[in-house]
Amino acid sequence: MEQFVIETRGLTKKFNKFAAVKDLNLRVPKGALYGFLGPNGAGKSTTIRLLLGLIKPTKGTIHLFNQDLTKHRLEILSRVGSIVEAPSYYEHLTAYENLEITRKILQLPKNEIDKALEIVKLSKWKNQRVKNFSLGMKQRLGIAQFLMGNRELLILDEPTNGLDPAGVREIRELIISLPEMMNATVLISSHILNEVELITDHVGIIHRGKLLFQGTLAELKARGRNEIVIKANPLHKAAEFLKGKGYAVAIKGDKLCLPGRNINLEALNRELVLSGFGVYHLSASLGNLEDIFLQLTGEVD
Amino acid sequence: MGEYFRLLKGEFLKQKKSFIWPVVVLIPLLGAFLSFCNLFFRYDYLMSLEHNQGHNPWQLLLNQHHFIWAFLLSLVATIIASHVHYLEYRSNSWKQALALPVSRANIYLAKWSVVLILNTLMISGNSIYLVAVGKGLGFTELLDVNLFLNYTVYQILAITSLIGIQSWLSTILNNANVALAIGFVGVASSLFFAQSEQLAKFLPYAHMIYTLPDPTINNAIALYYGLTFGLIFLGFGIMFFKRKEIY
Repeated sequence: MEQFVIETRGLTKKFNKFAAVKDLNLRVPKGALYGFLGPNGAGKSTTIRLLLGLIKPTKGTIHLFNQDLTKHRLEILSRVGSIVEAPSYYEHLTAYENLEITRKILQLPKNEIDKALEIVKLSKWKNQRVKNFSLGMKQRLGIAQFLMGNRELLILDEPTNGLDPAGVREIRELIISLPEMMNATVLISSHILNEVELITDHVGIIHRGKLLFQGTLAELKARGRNEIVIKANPLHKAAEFLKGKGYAVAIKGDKLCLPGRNINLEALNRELVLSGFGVYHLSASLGNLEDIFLQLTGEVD
Repeated sequence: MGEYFRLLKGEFLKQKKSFIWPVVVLIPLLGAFLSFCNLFFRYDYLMSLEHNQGHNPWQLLLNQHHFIWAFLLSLVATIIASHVHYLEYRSNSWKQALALPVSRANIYLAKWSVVLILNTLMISGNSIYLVAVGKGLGFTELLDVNLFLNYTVYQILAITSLIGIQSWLSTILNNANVALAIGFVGVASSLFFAQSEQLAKFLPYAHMIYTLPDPTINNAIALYYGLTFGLIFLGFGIMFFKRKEIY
């Protein structure tokens, strides 16, 4: 049986009459890099705040490590590291002093600070005041805060927000290395499809507070509209020929598109070539993540 | 208890390099300097006044100093209480602090304690500076240690009510500047309310005015009402903070 580090049942959060999160059944498997995907305002940050006990659910239950969050909050939080929206830091203090506060509160050994700073590559700047840091450095400092201690679950809310491309890549590589380095499960929320595709292996898609999809990235991609793309000469005659053979064909620009998953490409190619058509491109295309996402969210809209 | 002390240490670390430390040292010095000037230039005149005749010069010094100091201390206590909470809002740190495996009650108590400790340092510093002022003015009469000890303890007890209400306000209002503004209005109006003992009992901002050990002043207001309101607001603050939702 699959073990879930995060499991919510019927999780709902209402602000007055507005339901920011509706009946959410989130399941994050142990060891996963789980991408929590949704457009701005979809309910991602609200869900993360609920998971950390920062706000209370209107309805439903939250279990982390198979323990009820309302009953075992402190025990659970000792195993969780998080960044909610922007990282937190005291600008008038140095990077080291910022981490020293967390270290003191959590009673961790002193060398945890240097270890964490080393991982996020801030050792050189550890005695610099944070107010002089770039956004990327501040983000890395935020990550260093939860690298201290043996956290088994890391929750990152939009960790690459506002970073330049180099910063995005740096943070992305750091996040990808975390499960192996710390033997941790990672939940990362984002509204950037490409980011989720590059980082995660499991995906949950939330829109207007509802979870529309949950599963592996491969399962999500399999939901895409598969189609066969053909470029052949003469194009219109080839289209007529295929229609005559019972295929649903659409002409899009200089190519023919045939929707469907179970078409034998080899047989199709042979039929066209033997009938005198010049085939210079033939491929099976899976729908990209953007199409799938828009398809899923469009169904709700 | 261990967790509370760890959080307290953390709170003091956050105040490192903060403007609060110069304030804690310099504000009592400023108050003492003003009193020194007052008595240096007006000692004979003040002693000649009918209601001061027969007074010990140390008592005169306290009487003269008290109304500047009560006002100054209340204003600075308001600023410190707001600052300790504002630091978390400014640095976006409430989410981080409350996602740590520590009890919310202890987080609140640690913040409240920092404010009380800083105020106790100011109050103690003020008493020490005043003794120095008296010595500097050449008072030959024996120092009335009890008078100064009572004055110090009364202030520490009375300030708890102001710290209690300001900490509570800083928690319920997401904008710490609003709490600061309310505090300033409270302190400014305290002299007016303090004219009625009945009103002063129930206004935490006015308790400080009743801390001067003098037979004409009802110190019970500072002692009992100050401490009682201090504890009530501390309880309110903890209760509210435990339920507070952080967005």
